[in-house]
Amino acid sequence: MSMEGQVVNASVLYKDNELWKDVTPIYPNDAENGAVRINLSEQFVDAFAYLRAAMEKLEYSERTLDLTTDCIQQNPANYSVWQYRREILLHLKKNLGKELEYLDMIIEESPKNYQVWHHRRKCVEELGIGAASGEINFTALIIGDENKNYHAWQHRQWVVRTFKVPYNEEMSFSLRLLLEDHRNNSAYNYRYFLITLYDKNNDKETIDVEINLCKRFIEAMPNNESVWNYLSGLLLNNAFYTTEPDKRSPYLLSFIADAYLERIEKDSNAEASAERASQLYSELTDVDPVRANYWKYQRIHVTNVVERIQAKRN
Amino acid sequence: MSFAGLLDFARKDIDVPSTAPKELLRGKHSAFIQHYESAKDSYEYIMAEHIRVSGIFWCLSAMDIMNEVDKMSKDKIIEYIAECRNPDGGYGPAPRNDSHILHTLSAVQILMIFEALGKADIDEIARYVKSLQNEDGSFVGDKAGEVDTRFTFCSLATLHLIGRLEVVDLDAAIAFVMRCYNSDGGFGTRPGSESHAGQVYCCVGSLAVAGRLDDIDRDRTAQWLAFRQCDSGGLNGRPEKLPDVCYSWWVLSSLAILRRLDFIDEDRMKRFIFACQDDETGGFADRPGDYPDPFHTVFGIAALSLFGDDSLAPVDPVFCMAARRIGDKALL
Repeated sequence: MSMEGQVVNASVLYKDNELWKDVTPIYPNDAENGAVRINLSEQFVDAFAYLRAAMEKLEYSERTLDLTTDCIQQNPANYSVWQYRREILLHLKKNLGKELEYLDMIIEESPKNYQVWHHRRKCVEELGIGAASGEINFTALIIGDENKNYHAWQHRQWVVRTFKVPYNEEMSFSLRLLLEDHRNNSAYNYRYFLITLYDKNNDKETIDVEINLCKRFIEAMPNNESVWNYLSGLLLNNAFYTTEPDKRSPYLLSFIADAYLERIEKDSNAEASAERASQLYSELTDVDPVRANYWKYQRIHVTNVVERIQAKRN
Repeated sequence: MSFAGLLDFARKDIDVPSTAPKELLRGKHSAFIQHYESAKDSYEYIMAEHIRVSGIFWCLSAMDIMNEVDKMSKDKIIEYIAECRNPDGGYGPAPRNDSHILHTLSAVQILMIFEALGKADIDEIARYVKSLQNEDGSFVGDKAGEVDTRFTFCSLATLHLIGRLEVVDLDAAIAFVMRCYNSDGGFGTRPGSESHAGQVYCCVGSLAVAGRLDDIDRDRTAQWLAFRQCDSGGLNGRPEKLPDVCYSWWVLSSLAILRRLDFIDEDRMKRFIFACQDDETGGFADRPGDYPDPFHTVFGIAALSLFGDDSLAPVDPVFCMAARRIGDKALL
């Protein structure tokens, strides 16, 4: 087993190991002659010299699996080692559930390592849906230690998307974290991800719940960038939705349209802003028919301003 | 929730020590980088094998912005880069290491700094980068298959610098970047991922290379970036995270590309960056008082150059290199 192999190998250099006599190590050019080294460095040079040789021969065996364990212990960020290890695991048809247990340990030691999280995902891809609940628990553990760990959140997103983990469970998970830390930006982002994934962006009930949640968090703690960003994201994408048709106020609509006009003037996303402003003005023609001529005039005004801005650009 | 309200003051930031450096220690940084280059047999050097070509780029670009690149061993480095090339057309971090887009871009940038791009096989590099693009427009970093908007930027930047942008599906690449555009104005590594300043740089840089900056609401993105500045003057990478010098580069360069650099308080920003210098060994650390390294050193120096500094060469905000090396490839 790889774990036992690691213990044996840690005490002896590969160049002195009978099991590796048949392999000619490949040292990097300039490190080869370094005479005096500290112990760890010598182990490092030794292990990687044998790794290079093993990779060149494409040897997929128990001893090379142990060798990768050893090299990963020395440097878990070397992406080629992980790739080679994966090839060995697949060739030997290893129990990838065991591999995940090994990865639990490595990730707990270095939770911000890109390579190890990618390796984990590859293993879970092989294992399929049976691994899903374990991944949910494991990411919860890592997020429990560090509530904004980017890799853990991203991995969890992938698991949820791939294996269709239920919406409500995940929303509860995120809510628990937000109750612990109202400023956890990762948890807000996760809610947005779930709403989008489960196509609830146009579901009034869902958006209302979220807006109310934001209000409560803001009341409790106004100085919180994350919740304001989350709220404005919800509102920007649902500006029409949040007001009942019979409650749409011409003041509100023209206020929003004015804001878009200002954006056009500043050449900030001018074309998209113009489209939105025109939409609002034509809606105003219906909502506020008594001033229909004025709203029509505003629509023409939008077109003129955009053209002026476009001309200025060229 | 009233209890949580009591914690409202708990904003994440650091204090800049009053004894910290208050001006650029240019001479010390040059010595710091040269020491790194000469320490080839040191333990750190071996340890860093898997990031070495990018490491060389950080050192060289820092020296070039300080107008000190002549002190680096040009011929040896060019020779070394050639050894890092693989049959697939890409470059690994060291000889006999698998190709990776991060090191392929670094290799191209290193050759450009030495005005030796002619020594590279442009067609082969283009072929390698093309092989990294997925059908959905995204890019993998290497054969392990990890997808990340960092790799989109590195791929597009590499192709732009060698003049071969046409070999990939640019519309698909930008469509993928836009799927990573979040409602807060920022960008993440993949669709759905949280906004992160480093990824904003990669995505805004990708849009700049593709000439597609109009696809986003620049003000909203710039606003999110402006909110990265903490009271200490330093910039963080996400809300409620500690400031770090490397974000000085990623946030400032993104704002420079968006032409909104003035959203940042320049004096406080500089005070923070200066304070991250090690006044004994030279070099910059992530935060005041930590150990310096070449990575934070190049980003500290490049960030200062964006504000304009007579002792530094102007830097290109997209490529993090002295602007004079970019020539007619400049985007802004």
